[in-house]
Amino acid sequence: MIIEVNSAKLGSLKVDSDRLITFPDGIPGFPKVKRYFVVENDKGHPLCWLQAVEDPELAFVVTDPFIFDSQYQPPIPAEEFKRLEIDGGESLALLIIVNVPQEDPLKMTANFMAPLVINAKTRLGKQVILYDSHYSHHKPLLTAPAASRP
Amino acid sequence: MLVLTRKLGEEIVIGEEIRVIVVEIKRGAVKLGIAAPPHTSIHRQEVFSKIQDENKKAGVLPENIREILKNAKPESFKMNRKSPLTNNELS
Repeated sequence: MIIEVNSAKLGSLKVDSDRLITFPDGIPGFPKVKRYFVVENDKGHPLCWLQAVEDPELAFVVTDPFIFDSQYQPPIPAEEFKRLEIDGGESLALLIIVNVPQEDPLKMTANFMAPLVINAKTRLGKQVILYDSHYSHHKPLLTAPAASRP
Repeated sequence: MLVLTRKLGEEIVIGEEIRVIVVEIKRGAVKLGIAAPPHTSIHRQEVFSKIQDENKKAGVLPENIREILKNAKPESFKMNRKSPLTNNELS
């Protein structure tokens, strides 16, 4: 089934319902919004979008954490994998949310401390908070000169 | 708010399925054990609030965000791998 979403940020979008990703608990801060889908930017752009279905106003900028940290090894508890029925690397997908400050967009950061852990087969996901890790919840994504521009 | 006094080793039962036990009391810190069904999320409040706030901020994007992303030069990103979304096909 094709679903149409009139995104405030991205305009009119059409998506096949089997591309939707469901977060049964929502994500912290947005518990009522359960269904999202990924929209890519131009080819090769490191950032993409996670558009909410239930709320056309809501879209996040997200990215693949491994582009920015190829050594990224989030200590995701085994019970979270069990809950999402992720049995191996094949069904696991990770995204992280990017925060782009209104006042200084070039100081954009990404939340490596709370990745969106997704079962790519069942398309169920959860934002998992890594309590006992050194990963930052606001790690700068742009190199220093650009990021420090006023 | 309900306030209860519990001693070391004593428990609180919430609903039918959640049990909280006082495991240790030492120098102003209380160690709690929590038994709950697997679908229950249990969080440390201050960290959970931080993630909530971060998500709420991330949900508010600048008006011209598409332009900002379009104009951001690939070399200005701190990338150490070039291919996006390689972990698993999601889009």
